[in-house]
Amino acid sequence: MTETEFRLNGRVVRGQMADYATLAAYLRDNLGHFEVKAGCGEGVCGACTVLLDGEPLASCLLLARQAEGCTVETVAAAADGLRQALAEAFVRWEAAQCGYCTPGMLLTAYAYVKGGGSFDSPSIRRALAGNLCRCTGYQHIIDAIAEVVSTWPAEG
Amino acid sequence: MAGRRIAGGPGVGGTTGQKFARKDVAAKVAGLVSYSGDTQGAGMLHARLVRSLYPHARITEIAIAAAQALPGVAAVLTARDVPCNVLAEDPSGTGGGVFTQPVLASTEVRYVGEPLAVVVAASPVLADAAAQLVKVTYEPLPAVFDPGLALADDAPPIHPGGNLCVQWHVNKGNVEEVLAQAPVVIQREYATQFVDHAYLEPEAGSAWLEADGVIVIRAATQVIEHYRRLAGMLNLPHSRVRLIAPYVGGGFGGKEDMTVEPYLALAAFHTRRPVRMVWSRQESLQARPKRHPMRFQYTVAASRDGKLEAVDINILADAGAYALLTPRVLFAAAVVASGPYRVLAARVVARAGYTHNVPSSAFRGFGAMQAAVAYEQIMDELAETLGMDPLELRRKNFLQRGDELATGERVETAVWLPETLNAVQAALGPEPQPSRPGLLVGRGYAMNMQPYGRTVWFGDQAAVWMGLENDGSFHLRAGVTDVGGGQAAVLGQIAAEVLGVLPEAVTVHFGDSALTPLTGGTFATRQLYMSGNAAVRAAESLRERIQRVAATLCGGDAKTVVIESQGVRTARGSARWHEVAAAARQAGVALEVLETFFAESGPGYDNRRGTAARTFPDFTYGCHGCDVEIDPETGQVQILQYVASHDVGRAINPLSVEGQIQGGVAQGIGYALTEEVLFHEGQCLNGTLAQYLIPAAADLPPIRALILESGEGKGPLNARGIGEPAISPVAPAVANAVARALGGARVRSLPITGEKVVDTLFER
Amino acid sequence: MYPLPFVYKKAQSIAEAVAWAGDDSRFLAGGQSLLPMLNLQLASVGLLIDVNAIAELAAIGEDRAALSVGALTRHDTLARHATVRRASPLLAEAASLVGNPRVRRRGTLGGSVAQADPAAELVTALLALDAEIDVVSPDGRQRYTVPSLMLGPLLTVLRSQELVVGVRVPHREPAEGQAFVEVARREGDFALVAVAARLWIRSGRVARAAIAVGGAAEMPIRLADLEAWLKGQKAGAPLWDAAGERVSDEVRAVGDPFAGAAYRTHLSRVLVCRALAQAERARGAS
Ligand SMILES: Cc1cc2nc3c(=O)[nH]c(=O)nc-3n(C[C@H](O)[C@H](O)[C@H](O)COP(=O)(O)OP(=O)(O)OC[C@H]3O[C@@H](n4cnc5c(N)ncnc54)[C@H](O)[C@@H]3O)c2cc1C
Ligand code: FES
Ligand code: FES
Repeated sequence: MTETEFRLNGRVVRGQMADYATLAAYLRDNLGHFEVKAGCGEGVCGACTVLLDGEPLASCLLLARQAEGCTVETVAAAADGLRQALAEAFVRWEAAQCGYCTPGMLLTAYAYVKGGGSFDSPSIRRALAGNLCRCTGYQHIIDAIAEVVSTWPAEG
Repeated sequence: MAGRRIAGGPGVGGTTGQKFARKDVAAKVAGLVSYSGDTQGAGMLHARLVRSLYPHARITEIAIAAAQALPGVAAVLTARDVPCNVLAEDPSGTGGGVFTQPVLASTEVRYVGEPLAVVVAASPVLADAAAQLVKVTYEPLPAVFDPGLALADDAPPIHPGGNLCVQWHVNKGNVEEVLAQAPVVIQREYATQFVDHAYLEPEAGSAWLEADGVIVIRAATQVIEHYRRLAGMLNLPHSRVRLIAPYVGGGFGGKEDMTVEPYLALAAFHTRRPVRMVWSRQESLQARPKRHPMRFQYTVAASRDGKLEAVDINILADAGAYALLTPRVLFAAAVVASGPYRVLAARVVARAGYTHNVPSSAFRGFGAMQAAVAYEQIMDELAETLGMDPLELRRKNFLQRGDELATGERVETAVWLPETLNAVQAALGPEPQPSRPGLLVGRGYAMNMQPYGRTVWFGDQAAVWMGLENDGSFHLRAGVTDVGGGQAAVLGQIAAEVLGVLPEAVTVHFGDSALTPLTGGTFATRQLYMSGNAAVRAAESLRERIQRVAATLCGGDAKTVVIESQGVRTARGSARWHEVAAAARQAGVALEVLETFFAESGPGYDNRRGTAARTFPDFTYGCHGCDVEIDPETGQVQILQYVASHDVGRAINPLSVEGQIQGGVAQGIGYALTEEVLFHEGQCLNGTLAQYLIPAAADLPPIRALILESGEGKGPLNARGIGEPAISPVAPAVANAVARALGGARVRSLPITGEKVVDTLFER
Repeated sequence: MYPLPFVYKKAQSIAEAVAWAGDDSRFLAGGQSLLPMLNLQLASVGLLIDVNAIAELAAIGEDRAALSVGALTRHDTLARHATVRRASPLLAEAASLVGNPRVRRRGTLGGSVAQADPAAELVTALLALDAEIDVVSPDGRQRYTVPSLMLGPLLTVLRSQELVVGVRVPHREPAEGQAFVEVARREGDFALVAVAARLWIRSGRVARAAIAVGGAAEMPIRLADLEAWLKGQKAGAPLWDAAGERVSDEVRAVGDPFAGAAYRTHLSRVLVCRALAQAERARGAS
């Protein structure tokens, strides 16, 4: 157990963290942030994706203590315009069925669009390669992301 | 690539048939939905299973003292602690056999991963540690892993009644005679593999004891009606166990049999404290039921001009160590084994043998999808033999309304096989061209018929409760489980349509065995059909009461009363909702109703003769087509485009229907090309998601869903089920496209891996 | 999803990391191989030494002889970095094929080397590149080559106190063409077979060749006999085809449940052929 501090969705989190707790486990079991899902624990499914200093990473392959001093964002973070636009497009397209992959999917899509990703479907498919979905066949997810890319003003 | 609606529905108004954003989707996108494993409470205990390491062994001892002694361990439970250690079922519903299985094995284990003990401790880490301390002494016994070998005379017996789990017969006409005289007869074998549901949400749940002694289990399940079996296990009155299913993170049949429920119930029963259990992905891949591997022997006879004359079909499935739903799965396979085609004579024998593999059970497509793998490939192979276009051969033999199936029952509703085929053909466009020299391309099609609803002798029923609030908002209560297909939301949409109000006006409360009326589980593509019809009835009956009260209040004819957001109106006047409520109270009319829908029921199946007046209530038909490109040197298969069309009767929520179809196609492509749970002597060889390959976005082509609406179906508003039909034609469509690309060389076992493609080309 | 308990410490310098290391410790770099093993309880460890804060491990530089890449360089950086793409396009290409985008953002070159997966793209690339691997331990600095480092699947000579600090890769020469090709079962997966090839052609003849095959055998292997055989022969499609035919003499492929030995051998043949053809074409390009 070691005192660790990081910013989570705009708030400072400080607490005793077990050295061996993954960030996913800590967020879920200690902080009740159940919007971070756990599907495999081996970095494959992407359900546990969070933004660490803005980058989508598998929180099951990070230790909670490695977040020390970092900014962690989950899908529950206050949404900026782009996040909002994506969320709305996901709803419009019914890009979630069971919804278990959705938080990770949305954060990956957010980083993709923000990073200047293109609207063509092969590029989107490659960007989503680490986020598995068993329900939708990805089609509506890709449709939703493509729609946002083509309407969202690129930054900078 | 949006799906496209081809024909409009009857157009009753409201939101049915339009793109309509589901409420649960917004909550899921915002991360607000609490799933079964999303619980953490003060004093919560964590449970873990100790599972068998051997496929077949006698258990001589389960030593638990060391685990019990570990600080923080609340309980270590074994068979002795299960008040009634048998789970029994009569899965065929025909009384053909009652199958039993222990909750916790005590003297003998029959598959690797069979549960032996439940360890309950203060933290997941402690539970893991304690589970390691449970020492099980095994005496390994001879085991059998192939259903064919298991049915041989010298096979070790797996259950006292022998190793034949089930055998179904379908008979029509005199097959021997037709075969003997038929001008063209071909014979082929096909095989399918073990696959896993691989939903992203693991099997998970929690359980606790209420002050009144009711045990509550909140778990990821497709069937809250399991509460009765849980009560039976605990020797408690049924009313003392309550099963709640929040939104489920994917089911596909994998959460149809119980997973964590009995162990959670036991743990809460014994410790009297809240308990959580979550299975790891490895446990899930190793030990939770799979889709049945099946072997098909098909003999098909036809005239030279391509009229099907007879089919003689043998199906052998691996039931695994326990029956679970095997009898029903095999039944569905047997009924549709000759496909959506007219045949003069048919003989189907569908058997399942027990083995020491993990049990097989329900998985989207439920036997009927495995059969499609065989019947749609042999149609292409027959066409090749006849020198005929495979689509022409199909068109010649399409089943039509009024025809008799192999079982002898008649098809009553529209059979839109030509329509779906035409739609797919048109959408696929010109034949594919290789993207570079040396690659091979091919286009393949498959048709299908998939039952929806349970077989008629189950006497299926579903109940829905509706009530009106003073402010004009509605409650709808239904014990449906929502596995992601919008099973709850659609009921609100249907009720709103019937009442003539906006869907927002109806709040759906679902998935609680104690507080919502039972609808039966979400399986067999029955949920829309059953609880949808119940919702229609409840809404109609509530509307009628509202109209009656309104008519006395405002004057005028009850039938002309219009329901609006603020209240009711007739030609003579209007009233606000609180006035309606007051008037109803005065008149002694309750503005709440409970309606039950009873499915068409009928006599049981005559398995001796192999016929029935009716098996399933109805079928959904469709056609899929795709283009593939193959690198013949590496064997890699890439799907270039995919089009799927089904007649869904009426698309109540087209977006959801599209989503069901696209998702079914993606799962089907995994089944066709990459997925197989590999077992060696019962041990899973690829028990992680890194090794069990479900398709990622980059592996899939654009998938187009073409929704056709014949306006005929037995569901609410003439809808047909689409959950399972969408997956059935995928593997044969892909297999046919691959065979086309390979110039007729065919890989007859799934999955069609690069290795098999290369081997097949070599053999040529 | 909990690993068996361990102690975690974050090192600020190479010296600190190495000093803390002991028999029951492991270094934690990207965690993309180690954490799955710990989460699944396929491995356990007493002390985990996080090296992610050691800035000098992440440097990329070059001198006249070689490109030097710090052990902490992420796969993604390797794939995109302008210097790497120019000096060693093969390495950049290999890095772009590792795992999925999330894995590439986090996983490191040093981790890949130490993990020694038989199908690892980067190890296969380094083997073809005659790379040198720099390792620091309490005993000082050591330099390895891939063959001197690798012992078998997931097995190296590295002791738990030995920290990989960087890799030196010779610059691509003007006459040299490079290629990296692979076959994987699913986008983002480990390769079933991967081939890295370098080809020097002078006056239409092969002056030198370096070919490494990953995924086929228990560890990535160099096809030394084939390289020698190619020397002096007339470059072109017929030669690449003939080269492919000789691959099975040297590749002792092993089968596993996912692909049999014969198929892996076959893929090696096909991919060697393709890699040589592609390397020939890539010569002019820089
Ligand atoms: C979903 C997924 C897909 C993947 N696909 C691929 C793929 O296709 N191809 C592929 O090659 N890899 C793949 N990987 C593995 C990935 O490339 C890893 O990043 C890599 O193997 C290890 O690097 P790491 O920095 O993550 O190391 P870690 O996981 O941190 O460590 C791995 C091992 O190396 C040791 N180690 C780490 N750094 C050092 C060092 N500097 N000195 C000494 N020892 C050290 C650790 O102690 C540990 O034993 C995949 C991983 C995942 C999760
Ligand atoms: S749970 Fe982290 S990637 Fe699956
Ligand atoms: S919506 Fe269920 S996994 Fe994606």
